[in-house]
Amino acid sequence: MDNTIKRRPTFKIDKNLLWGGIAIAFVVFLLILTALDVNDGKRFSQIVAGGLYQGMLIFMVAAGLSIVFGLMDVLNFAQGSLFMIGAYVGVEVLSGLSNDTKTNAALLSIHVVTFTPIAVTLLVEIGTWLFYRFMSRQSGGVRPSGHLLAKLTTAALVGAPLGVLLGNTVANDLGSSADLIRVIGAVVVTALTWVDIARDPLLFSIKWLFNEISTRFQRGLAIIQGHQALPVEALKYRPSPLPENGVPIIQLVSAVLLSTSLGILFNSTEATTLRFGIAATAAVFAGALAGVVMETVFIRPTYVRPFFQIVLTFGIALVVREVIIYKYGVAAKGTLAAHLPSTLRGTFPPAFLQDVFPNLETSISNYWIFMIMMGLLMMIGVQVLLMRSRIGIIIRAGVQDSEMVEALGVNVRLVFTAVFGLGAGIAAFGGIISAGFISINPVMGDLYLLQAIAVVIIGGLGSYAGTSIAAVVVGITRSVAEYFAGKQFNSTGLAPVAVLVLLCLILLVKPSGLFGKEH
Amino acid sequence: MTQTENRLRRRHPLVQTLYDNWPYILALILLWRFPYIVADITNSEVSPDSPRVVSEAKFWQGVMIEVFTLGVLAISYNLMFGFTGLISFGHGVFFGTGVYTVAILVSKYQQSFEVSIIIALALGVLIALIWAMASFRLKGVYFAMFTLAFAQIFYELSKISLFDFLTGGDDGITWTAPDWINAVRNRLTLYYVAMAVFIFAFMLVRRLMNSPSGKVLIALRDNPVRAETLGFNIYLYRTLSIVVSGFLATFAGIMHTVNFRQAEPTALGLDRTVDPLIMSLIGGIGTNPGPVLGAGLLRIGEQFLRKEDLQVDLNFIIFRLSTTVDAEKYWAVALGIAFILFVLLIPYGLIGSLNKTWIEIRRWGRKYFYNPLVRKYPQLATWAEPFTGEPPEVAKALAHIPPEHDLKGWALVYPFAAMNGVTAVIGVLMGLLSWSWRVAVSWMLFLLLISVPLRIIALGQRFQKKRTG
Amino acid sequence: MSEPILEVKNIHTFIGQFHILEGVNVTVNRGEITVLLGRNGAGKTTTLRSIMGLANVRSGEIRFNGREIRQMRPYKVARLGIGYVPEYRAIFRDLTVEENLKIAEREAGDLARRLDSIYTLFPDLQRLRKLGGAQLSGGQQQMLAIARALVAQNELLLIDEPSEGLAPVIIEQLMAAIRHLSDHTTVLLVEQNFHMASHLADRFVIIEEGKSVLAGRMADLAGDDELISKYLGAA
Repeated sequence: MDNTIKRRPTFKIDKNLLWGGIAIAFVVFLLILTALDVNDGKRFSQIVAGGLYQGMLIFMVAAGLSIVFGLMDVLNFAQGSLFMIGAYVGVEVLSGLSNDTKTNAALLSIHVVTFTPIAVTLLVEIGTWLFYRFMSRQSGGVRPSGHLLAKLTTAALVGAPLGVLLGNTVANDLGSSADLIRVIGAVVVTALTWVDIARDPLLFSIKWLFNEISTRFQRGLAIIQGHQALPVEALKYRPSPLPENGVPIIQLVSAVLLSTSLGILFNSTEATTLRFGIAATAAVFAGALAGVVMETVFIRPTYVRPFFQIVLTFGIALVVREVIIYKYGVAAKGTLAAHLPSTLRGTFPPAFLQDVFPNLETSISNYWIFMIMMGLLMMIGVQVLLMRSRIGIIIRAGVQDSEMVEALGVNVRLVFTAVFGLGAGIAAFGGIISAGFISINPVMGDLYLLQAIAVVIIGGLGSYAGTSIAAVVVGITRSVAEYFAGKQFNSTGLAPVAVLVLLCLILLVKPSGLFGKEH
Repeated sequence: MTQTENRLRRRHPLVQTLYDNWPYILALILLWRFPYIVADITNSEVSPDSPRVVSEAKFWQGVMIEVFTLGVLAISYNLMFGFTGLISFGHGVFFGTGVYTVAILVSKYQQSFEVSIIIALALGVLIALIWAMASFRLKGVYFAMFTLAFAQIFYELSKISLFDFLTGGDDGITWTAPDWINAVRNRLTLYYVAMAVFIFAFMLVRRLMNSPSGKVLIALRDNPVRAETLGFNIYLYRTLSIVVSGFLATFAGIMHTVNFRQAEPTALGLDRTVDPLIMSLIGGIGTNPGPVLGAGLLRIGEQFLRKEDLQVDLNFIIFRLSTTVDAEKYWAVALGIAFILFVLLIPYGLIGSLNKTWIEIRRWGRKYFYNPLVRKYPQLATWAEPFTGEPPEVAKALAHIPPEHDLKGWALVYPFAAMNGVTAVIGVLMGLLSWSWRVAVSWMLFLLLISVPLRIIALGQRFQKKRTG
Repeated sequence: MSEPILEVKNIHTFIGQFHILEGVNVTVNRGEITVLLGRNGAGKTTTLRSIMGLANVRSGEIRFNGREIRQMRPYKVARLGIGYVPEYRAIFRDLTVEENLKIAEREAGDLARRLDSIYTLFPDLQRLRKLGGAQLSGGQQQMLAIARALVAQNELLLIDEPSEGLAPVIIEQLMAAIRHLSDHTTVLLVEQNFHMASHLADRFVIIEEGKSVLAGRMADLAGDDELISKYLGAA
């Protein structure tokens, strides 16, 4: 008898790949349909870019929604409110900054002291990573402590050219307080850079010193108490763990280089950019704080009552909306366009590019490109966080079984709060970014929330990649629907209906969404 | 137990019923006399001769009509969310259907008021059937999202200029209600009609929830898997709940548009979900009188708070407000905060908490319960906390429901059949009030109309597997 | 060596409104392998979950190294040095083998320190380290689940039904592994497979209908066919 089991040839297609392909095919189909109808490169580019930027804004609301739902099974109806909080905090900060010179100066210095060093450290870390990833194969990708060379390279290759390029080329309108701030900034940044660079050897030497002292103390104690002294090994010579000679000099040089280039960078920054940066930072922190408070105070007590949880977030959204109406009135407050840096106010391509490529038939607002870039940055950033970091591993594991993660010794509730704050921060960032182009009003959050929910469900609840793809799909769908509705019915109000119909259909046909797991 | 039964037997059934329901009977009498009591207190005319004059009494009748409207809406919402555990974020679609259908048919197509009502209700039931079909496939959050998207589609459509000829766009429609039920000319009549509809809705849901079918609905909420393994056709019960709920919400919409004689997009909006949700939560979700109590408290409380100029200085509390508080705006914020506090601290609402305490007291003290169903199935006596996801006592009690009980054929129309009498009485009453035989006939026609789709669904049940439990 | 590391005294555990454990007593001595025996649904798994803090223990006493841990959150219990290998090999399916191990780190460098010894114990895992958890076979998943509990410095391992649904060859491998790791740590095992239990364990506790009914040395039980058939059905 033949013992071998005959296997039928199976044609197994990766489900995710299949649905991703369908989603992309759908977008391409829509775009071809539009392209055939438009016959105007300018209009077409606007439709595509418009769809993309809307998709990115929706994504920023949906990201938190998706991760939070996957991890904690909470569908946060207040995510739209966080988006709105971001926008309003941004407005408040910006108007405060442009009105009052004292707050202006104070906030600027706060910004200089907190935000820029973080950016610098990030820059340095990225450079280090790149250096050891691609340049030093022989070290096996393992980072030696100190990593001075990398920092030097970064400082030399990134910091200095930036400083030279930007220094004094752009007008600065900071006024008289500018110099003081710049000096403070330079000092703080230098100090922080120093600490960062010298961190590893410093820690090492502190440990060594502590060890030395405690050994001697114990030995002394033993002698006093009349015990036998410690073995001879304790007194033997141990090589100093401090770095080899010459290193401190290199550190000094690198720090000076870095801080110089940073100083030039400060010198050159346009005040509007700074203000907008401050507003964005404030918005993100306010949003994240609101998210953390929301999670700890309101949602944590209701994990045992899932029904009430939805109702509760719904109530929070209601309160936030009413408070904003209370404080700012129902009327829309207009956009932040006037506060934007000049580079963001133009259109793409700029005049000099048009001279070079006269056939370039596009006309997209620079700000749209900025929004798209920011959205992509967030998308990739969160993806990297999820795939690479320890908290990402915990989140992905928690999506499957948070109880087991806790049984391994991870404080899952803390992770919940952090993730909630992260999602809230991203939503608030989306809010302030959108405020540069879209009129701020008390129902802006609700509008984006609906679309974000559509995105999360289309992408599959709990699937981050699905959310990212669905955001683009929904953005493009909306934009194309806007175009066709405007053309055929002279009524762009049909665009949100198109998205909602898409949502209803997906729910009825494939409730788990494109990339979600079957329940 | 025998002692209790003896004590129960000593009373005449009618006396027992009156004794059991004394709060409701008291409320009924109060509502019946309400216009006159208010007239006495405020020393004003119940129904002034000139329709232009709005006396104090007439004003309060208007408020009470709104309470009845919201009460019906809240009852309907509570049936779906509180009793069956289906979260709806799109109740506005039913409400708006009632509002818009009547307004459009009467003002744009010159249909008679009665026919419009029936078409509106039929449309409401139709939408409910679509929802029910969606609920077969979608669970929990997914169903909530479906209802939200579904309602928002209609909301967006009602706003855009494309359908101006039908909906009037953002401005909406203004129409004239028939004289006999007109809120300006004949508000007292409208008051009693609204009250009748409200009582109809209340009795309908109460009867339904006291029936074995109602217990199955509660089991659906607390433990759908268990209800299914016990052999109940959960889809049919879900359909029942959604259809009755949609029917009542549409009715509320009709009452709303009759009262205000206009239709506008907000009738379809999210507020129509938020309002009944808050009312149910405050009154007590998953209880019969809760939503009604919530509706009354909120609407009347709002009236008082808005009427008096609120001289509260919140300067030191939350916001840097100037001196006085704009009562209109303050109300919305306060409502939201109350909402959150209720969800966090008193999740079962006023009536729910009261019930819970009461039952605890009863447990200690007496040995019998007024509720006839509890008397029959003592397991129900233990308070089952709704929505905790734990297997509750109610699900256990399901085992005691006679095995032959399941919705079969006409049984889906059971609550309607049970209320046939009441409906007929209301029909005759409305006919008498408007001196029109058409109204009476149209009510009967309506009953026929509503039973046809239900009958079709029920037929499908013959092909379902027989109950195994 | 008979110093108790874990003492469970008369615990009553509820799941929802159901009273699952109605007085369970378990004592685990340091360095020994103790096995919980009993029929399906007797409450063995619930006992382990109660120790980890994953179940609602309303009364009783659970002491680990003399410290009361009954009301503690699970992550704190785990950090005291208790590793948990749950039923059905609850590894994380979306994570790779390496990530599955990495998540169990309590301090940075835990994994790097013990990776070699883990790979010596389960050589398969080294070969599969880049694979997703969902792609592993049942035996490999079980090995990964045990390895995950070894990453952190644990004094006590709770292992729930390791042999369930595995081929006899794999069970032999697992037994060898568990015997090896019991040189360094204490193990509380739940096992239906009496053959495996009798070969591994030093002591046993029999749980029946939520109560611990019998405890003693495994050697005594293994010889007593009457007891075995009374409590465990046919051996």
